[in-house]
Amino acid sequence: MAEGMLSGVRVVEFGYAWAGPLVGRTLGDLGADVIKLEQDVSRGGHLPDDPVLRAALDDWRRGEAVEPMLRASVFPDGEPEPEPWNRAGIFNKHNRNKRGLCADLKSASGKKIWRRLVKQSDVIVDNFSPRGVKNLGIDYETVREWNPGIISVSCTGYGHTGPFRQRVSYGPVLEAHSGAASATGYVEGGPMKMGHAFPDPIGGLHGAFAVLAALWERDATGQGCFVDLSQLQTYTSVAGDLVLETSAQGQAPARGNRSRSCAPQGVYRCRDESPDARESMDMWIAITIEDDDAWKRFTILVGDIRLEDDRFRDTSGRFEYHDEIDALINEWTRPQDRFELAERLQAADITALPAMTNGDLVQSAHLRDRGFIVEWDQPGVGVYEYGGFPIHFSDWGPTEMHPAPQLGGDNRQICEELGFSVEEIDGFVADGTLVDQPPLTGGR
Amino acid sequence: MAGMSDLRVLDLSDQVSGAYASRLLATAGADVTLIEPVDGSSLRSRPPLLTATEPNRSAAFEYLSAWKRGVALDWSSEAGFDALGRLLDQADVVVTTMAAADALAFDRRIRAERPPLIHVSATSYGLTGPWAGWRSSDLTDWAAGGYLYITGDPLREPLQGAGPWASYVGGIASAVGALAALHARRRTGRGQLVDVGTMETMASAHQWSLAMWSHQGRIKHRANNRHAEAHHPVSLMQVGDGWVCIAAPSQAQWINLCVALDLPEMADDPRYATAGLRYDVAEEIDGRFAPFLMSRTRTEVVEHLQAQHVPASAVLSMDEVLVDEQLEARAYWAYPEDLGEGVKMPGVPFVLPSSPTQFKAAPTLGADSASVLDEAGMQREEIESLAASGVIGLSGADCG
Repeated sequence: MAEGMLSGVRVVEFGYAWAGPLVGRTLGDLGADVIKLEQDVSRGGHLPDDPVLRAALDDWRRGEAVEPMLRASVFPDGEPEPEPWNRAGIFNKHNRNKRGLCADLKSASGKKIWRRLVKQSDVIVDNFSPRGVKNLGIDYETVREWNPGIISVSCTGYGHTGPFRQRVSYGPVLEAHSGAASATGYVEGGPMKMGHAFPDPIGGLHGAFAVLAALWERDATGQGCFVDLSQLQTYTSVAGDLVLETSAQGQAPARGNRSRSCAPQGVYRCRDESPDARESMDMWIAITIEDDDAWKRFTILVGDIRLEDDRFRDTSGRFEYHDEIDALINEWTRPQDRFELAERLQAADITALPAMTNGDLVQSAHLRDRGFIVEWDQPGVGVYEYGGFPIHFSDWGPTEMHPAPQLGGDNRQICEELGFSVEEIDGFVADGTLVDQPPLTGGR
Repeated sequence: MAGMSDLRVLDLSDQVSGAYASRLLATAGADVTLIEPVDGSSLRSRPPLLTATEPNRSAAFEYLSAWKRGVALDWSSEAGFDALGRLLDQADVVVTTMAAADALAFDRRIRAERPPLIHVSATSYGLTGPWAGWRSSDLTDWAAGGYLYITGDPLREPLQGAGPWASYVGGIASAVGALAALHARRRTGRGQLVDVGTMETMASAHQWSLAMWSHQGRIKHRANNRHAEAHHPVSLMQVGDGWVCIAAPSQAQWINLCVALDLPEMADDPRYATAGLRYDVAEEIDGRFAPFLMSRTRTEVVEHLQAQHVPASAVLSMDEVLVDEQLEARAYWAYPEDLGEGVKMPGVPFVLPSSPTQFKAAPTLGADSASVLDEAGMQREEIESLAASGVIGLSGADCG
C-alpha cells in the first residue's frame, strides 16, 4: 500500500449502519490503517430459511418483483448468494479501505484481543448508544487505563450526558428532533424528511474532523481524549442560521423551494426519460434567477413575450407574481431535455442544474473527469463502480481504493500483528472468539 | 509540536461552505481571522436577515463567523495584496470560496513564496472538470448532489432542504481536508491545494443509491416521509398533536413496536415479516397504527416507544428545539447578546480538548484590522496610511 496522508495512524472502528463507518472510511481513504471491528451478527445473518422470503427472493431472480429489503442491501444484479453478508453493495460501499476483524469481545479471548488492540491503536470510533458502549466494554474509562494516549470518538445520537442519553435513534429520528424535518416541506404541507438519512453523513464527516483535530492536539500534548459527539448536535449545527433566526425573530422559516432573496427560483419539470429502460420517469431542472440582469438574460433566452411583462421587471414584482412566472417557466421546460437545457442556461450565465438522479451521478461526465467515480474488484462480487473520495489534494495522488473486508477476513493477519502466536490464534478460532461467518438462523 | 491553538487560519470565504469550514476549525481552537472587503462580506447580507437589528444583520453571518477575528481589507489593490501577503506569511491555512478560475489564479500567486501554506478551496463543482465554471445557488447545490431528486413527494416536484445544508456538508469536508493536509505537512514540510466540491461531497453522502445504480441499474425515487423505498417503518407519522418519527427496521424493533402499540398480532403476521415487505403495505400498517397514535400526544408516544427501545422522536419545531431539555443539559447553546436578550444559536458542536470555553461573537466590520496587522509586524504608520487610502477598514468611526 502506498504511503497515505495518515500513514502510521491506526484506527479501530466499531461502527454500524452509516455514521460510524463513514468516520472510518474517511480516515481509511486518507491512508490510516482502519480496522473494522465487527460481531458475528453485524452484517445480518444467513438468508432466513423462511418460505415467504424465499418466494420473494425467487421473484427477484425472475425479475418479476423486487423485495424491497433486498433492494436496499444492493446485491449485485440482485443476487445475494453465496455469502450475502459479503455481497451487500451498501456495506461494501461504506467500508472500503478498511481491514476486517470479527471477534466476540465478551469472551475471555476476545477481551485479550481487544486489550492488545487498544494498546496498539491511536483512535477508537464507535456509534453505539452509551449503553451499548458500556455493555461492549469499549468505553473510554476502560480503554484509557490500557492506553492513556488513546483518542475515543463516540458518535451517539444524543450524546453521553443529558436526560435523553439512553434514547435510541437513527438518522431520521434526529432529523425530527433537530427541527430540520419541520423546517423542510412543501409550502402548504407538513414536515418532510430527506431522501436519505442525512444526519448520518453529517455526523460521520464531523466525526472524522474530530479525530483529526484530536490527533493534532495529541501530537502537541501527548494526551489522548474522549470526544462525546452527539449527532443531534452536529445536525442542528448545520441548521445554525435557521435556529438563530427563529430565536431572534420568534418565527420559523418558510418551507418550499423558493429563495428568500431572489425570484424566481424553482424546480421545473423537463422531458420524462426512461433511464433504466423500464418505466418513464419525471425529470426536473433547478433554476435560480439572482437579479434583474439574470432575469433579462433569461427572458431573452426563453423568448416568451409573456415573461417580458413589466410586472416582472424587478425582484419584488417577481416575488409577487412568482406562481404565474413558475407556470410559464414550466411550460417552457416541460418538453426539453434537462441536460441540454442546463447547458444553454449556464452558457447564458444563468444558474441552473438538472436534479441529478443516482444514475446521473454515476454517469456524470463532470464527476468522471474529476476522478470521483471509482471502481474496485470486490472479492466474491466483482468489479463495480462506486462514489469516490470528495477531497482532492494537489500533493497526493488520487485516493487508492481497496475493497471492503470480508467478515472476519483479516482476523489472522491482525492478530499476528498484535503479537499473538499461531497456536494462540488457532485457539481463538477453536473457542469461537474469531469468526468469519454469521450465526445460522433458522427462522426470520 | 504545535497544537490546535497555534494554528492560524485565514478565512477569505464569502460562501457558507468555506465559512463553516473555518468556523469548525475555530470551534476546535484554531485562531481564525475572517478577511472581508472594506464594505463588508456579502455573507453579511445573506438571508436569513434579523429584522430586529438595525441595520439588519444576517443570521448566517453571525452564526458562521462566531469565534473569528475580523479584518476589513481590499486586497485587489497592490498595497492590499501586500498586506494580505503579510498575513499569509504567518498562516497555516487559507480558506477560499472564489470561483474556480480565480481560485487557481490566487493559488499560483500565493504558492511560490509560501510552500508550506495550505489552501483549501471550497466550491460547488470543484476546480476542474467541465462544470468547474458553472454557476450555482443553494438550490442547484441540492440538485447537483442528487438529494433534490430523492426528497419530497413522488407525485410532485422534488424538494430542497430548508437551509443551505449541501454547502455546509461541503464545509465539513473542507475542514477535514484542511486538517488532513496539516497532518501530511508534518511529514513532507509541504503545503498544498485542497479542492473540495460540494457536488461530490453530497454525492458521497448518499446511503446506497450510487451503488444501487452501478449494481442493479435502478433509479432511486422520492418516497415522501417514508424511508428510501426499502424499510418500514422508518417514517414520519401523525399523532394527536403533530408528528413523530418512528424507526423500527430491525425485527426486534418491529416486535417491540407492535407490542408497544397493543397490536401484538401484527408481529406474527408473515406479510409484515421484514422491513422490506412492510414497505409495500405501509399504508395498511399505518392505518392499523393510527387509532393508537392519533389518540396520544407526541410526548406520550415517544416516551412509550423509547421505553421499549424503539427509536422515536417528536418532530420538533425550531421553537421547540430552542427549549429542548437535552440540548440545554449539554450546554449546547451560545448567547450572542448583541442580537437580543436571550437569543441563542448553536455553540461548539462537540467539545474537543482544544475547544474555546468562552463564546466570542462574530466580529463587527474591521474590528480586528489594526491588531491583526500589528501582530503581523506592520508599523502603526503603515496601518494608518492603508486606512487613509481605503485599503483597510478600521473599526469604530473609521468604519464605513
